[in-house]
Amino acid sequence: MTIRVALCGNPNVGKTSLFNALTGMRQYVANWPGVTVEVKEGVRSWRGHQLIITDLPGTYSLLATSLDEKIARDFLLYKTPDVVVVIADALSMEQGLYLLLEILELEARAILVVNAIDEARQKGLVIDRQELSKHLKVPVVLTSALTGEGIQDLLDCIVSTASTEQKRVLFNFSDKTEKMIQQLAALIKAQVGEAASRWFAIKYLEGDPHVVERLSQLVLKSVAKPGNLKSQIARERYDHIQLIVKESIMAISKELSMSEAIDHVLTHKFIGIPIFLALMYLAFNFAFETVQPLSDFLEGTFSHLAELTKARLGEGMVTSMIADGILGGVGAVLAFVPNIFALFFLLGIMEDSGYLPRAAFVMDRVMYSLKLSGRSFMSFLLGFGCSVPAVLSTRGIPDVRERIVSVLSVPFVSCSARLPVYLLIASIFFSRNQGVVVFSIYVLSMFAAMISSLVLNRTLFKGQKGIFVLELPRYRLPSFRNLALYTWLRGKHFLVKAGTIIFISSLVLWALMYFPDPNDVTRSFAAQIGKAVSLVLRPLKFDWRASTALFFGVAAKEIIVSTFGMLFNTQGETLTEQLSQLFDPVTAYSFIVFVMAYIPCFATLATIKSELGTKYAVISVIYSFSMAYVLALAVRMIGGIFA
Amino acid sequence: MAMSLSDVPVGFEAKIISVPDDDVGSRLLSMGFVPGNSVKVISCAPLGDPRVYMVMGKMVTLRNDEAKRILVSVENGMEPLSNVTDGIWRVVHLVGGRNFREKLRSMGIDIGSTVKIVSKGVVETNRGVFRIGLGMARRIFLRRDDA
Repeated sequence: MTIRVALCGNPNVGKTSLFNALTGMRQYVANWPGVTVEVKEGVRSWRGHQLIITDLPGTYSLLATSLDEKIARDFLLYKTPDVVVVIADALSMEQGLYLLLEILELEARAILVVNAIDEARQKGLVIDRQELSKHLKVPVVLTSALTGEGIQDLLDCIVSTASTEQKRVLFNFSDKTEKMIQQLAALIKAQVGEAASRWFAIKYLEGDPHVVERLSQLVLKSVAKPGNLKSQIARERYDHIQLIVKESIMAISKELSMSEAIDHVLTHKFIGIPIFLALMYLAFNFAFETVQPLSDFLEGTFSHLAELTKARLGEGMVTSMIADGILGGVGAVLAFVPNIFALFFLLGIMEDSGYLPRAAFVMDRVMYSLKLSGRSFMSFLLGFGCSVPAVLSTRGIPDVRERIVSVLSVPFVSCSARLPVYLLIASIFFSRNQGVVVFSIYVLSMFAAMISSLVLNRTLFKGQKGIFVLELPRYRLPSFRNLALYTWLRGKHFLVKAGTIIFISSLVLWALMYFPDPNDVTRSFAAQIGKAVSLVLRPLKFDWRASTALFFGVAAKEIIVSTFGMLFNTQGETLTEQLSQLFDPVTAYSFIVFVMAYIPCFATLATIKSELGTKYAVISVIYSFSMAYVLALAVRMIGGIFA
Repeated sequence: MAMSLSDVPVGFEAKIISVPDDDVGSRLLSMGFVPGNSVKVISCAPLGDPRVYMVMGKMVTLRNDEAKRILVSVENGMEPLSNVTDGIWRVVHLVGGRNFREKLRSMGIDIGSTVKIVSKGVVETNRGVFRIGLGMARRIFLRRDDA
C-alpha cells in the first residue's frame, strides 16, 4: 500500500533532520509549479508499505498570511495526505501543539511527534507520552532525529494510523465562541454546502484573508465581522495547550542554558558584529580561497585535455567542437563545483548550529533601511566572490519578496571575475591612479546593489512589507550525516539544473565564434552580433569590438579580456596600444561601469533560472542591462562636463 | 497601564494586552504572543533593533516597528514615567547611557530616589520641579511608593 505522509511543524523544530532520518538519500526537491518555496519529497519502504513523505514548509499556523502557510495549508486541504505528522519541540511544545490543534480542525489523521527528546532528557524534562496522547486524542511518538531514537516507532505508527478510520477530534472552544462558530457554520453550510464548514467558520473568525474573500458573498456580517475573534480563539487554544502541557510534563528544571551563554557572546552589543564579520571572512576565504586550487586543477585538467585532443585529432571542426566546445563547457561547470560544495557545507554548519538566524538578527538593522532583512546581508557579501554561490545562498530566506529582490540585486555586487577587466582598463587609461579607479568601481557596485534593492521594492513589490519575525533556536552541534546530505543534495541540484544550462550555453557560444570562418574571429557570427549590439550601445560610444567583447562577457566576465586579445590579434601592435585608441578616458570609465553592472554571466543566469524560474532570469537580463546602460550613460554625461 | 512592548527595557517581563489587528498580529498570535501571556525582553541587537523576546519557551526576534504595535503592561506595578499622571513614585530603572543618567541626576532623578508627579510630564524632585519630554519619560521606570 502507498501511504502519503505530510510533515508539518514550526520552523527550527528539527523537521528537516527528521525528514532526513525518515528518507535518507531517497529525497528530492518537489517540482511544484509556481512555487518558489522549496518543498522536498522523499520515499521510504517500511514493512511492505511505500511511504511518500512530503516535507512542508515550517509554519506556526495555517492562517495563510504568508506564502509558506498557504502552501502547507493548500496541500493539507486539497491534496489531503493519508497521515499528517506534526512535529513539536520537546523543550517548547506549545507552538507545535497550536499547529496540531489547527490541523485537527481539518479532520486529518494526525500523529504528534515530540522531537529532541534526548535534549529534553538531558535537561531533566520528563514527558508523559500517554498523558499527551490521552488529552490530544492522537498517537504520540517521542523521537530524536539526531540519535535516531523513536524513528522506527514513528514509521510503525504512520502505518498503523493510515489504516485507522478518519476520526473527528475536535477541540471545543468556550461556549460563547463555540456558539458563534456553530451559527456561522450553519450559515456557510446552508449557502455553500461546504463539507468543512466548521473549519471555514473558525478561519473566518480568525480573519484568514483567503477564507474571508471566499466567503465574501455570504451574509455573515450579521453574525460576526471577519477576524472578530482572532485573539479570543488564539487565547482559548493556548489556554487549552498550557493545561495539557502542565499535565504531561512531569519534571521541569530551570538552569541557565548553554545557548544563553553562547548568545551572550555571539549577539553581543559591541563584539556581535565584529564576530559576524570575522566568521564571514573565514567562510569567504574557505569558499573562495581554500578550495581554489581544486577549481584551478579541474579547469587546468580540462584545458590540458583540450590541448591533447587538438594534438591528437588535428585541426578541424569536430576537434574544435570537442576541445573548445564540449571540454570547455564541462570544465566551466566543474570549475564551480569546489566553491559551491564548500559554500553549502558552510551554510549547512551555520544553519544546523543555529548561528544563521543570529547572524540575520545581528545584521538586520543594516539591511532594514533597504527593506531587506539581516538574512540577505550574507548573500550580498558572498557576491564579492562569485554571484553563483551568492544567488544560491538566498535559498532559505523565508520571505519570498526579499528572496527575489536579493537574487536580482546580488549580481550587481562586483564579483572576482570582473576584476581582470577593471585592471586591464585601469592600467591603460588611469595608470596613475589605478587603485582609486578600481576601488571606486567596487564602491559603486555596492551602491548599485543597494539602489537596486530599493528600486525593486518600490516597483515590483510596491506596498508589500515583509515582517521579520524570527525564532532563535537552541544551538546544536551539527550532525555529520545531516551536513553531508545537505551539501550533497544542494550541490547536486546546482550541478543538474544550472550545470546543464551552463554547458549548453558554452556550446552555443563556441558555435557562434567558430562559424562561418574559424580562422577569422572578426567575421564570426559572434562579431556580427557584436556589431548589431553596438548600434544600441552607440550613445555610450562603445564600438563593435567593445560590444563583441561585452557580448562574450556574458559567458563569463573575464572572457572580455581575452576577447579583446582575439579581436585585435590580426594587426601588429600590442593590445595596450590598440585599446588606448579604442576609448577616451571617459568612455573607458563608463565601459568598466557597464561591465560591473550589465547582464549577469550565464552561470549566474542559469542559477537564477533554476532557483526562481525562467521569468526571473529574463527579468534579470533586462533589468541589469537597463541599469548598466543608465549608469554608463550617467558616467558619460558627468564625465562630459569635466572632460 | 498600557505601553509598547518596544519600550520595555531589556531584562523586564510584561503582560501582553493586545496585538495589532492584521496579518502581523495573526502571525504573532500563533507564535504565542497572545493577550494575557507574559513576554520577557531577553536582549537587543548591536544596533538597537531588533530585540529578542522570550514567549512560551521560545526566543523570538521582533523589530521595534512591530513590537511598537504590541501593547503590554509591565509586571510588578512598574510604569514608565510617560504613563503616570500623579502621586509619589520611586525610580526603579533607567534606560540609557551615562549622559542620560547624569542629566537626570542633575534633576534629582536617580534609581532609588522618590519623585512626585505633579501632572503629566511634570515632576517634582528634591532639586525642584521639572518638565520632562515624552522621549525621556518613556525611559524612566517608576513604582508607586505608598510609604
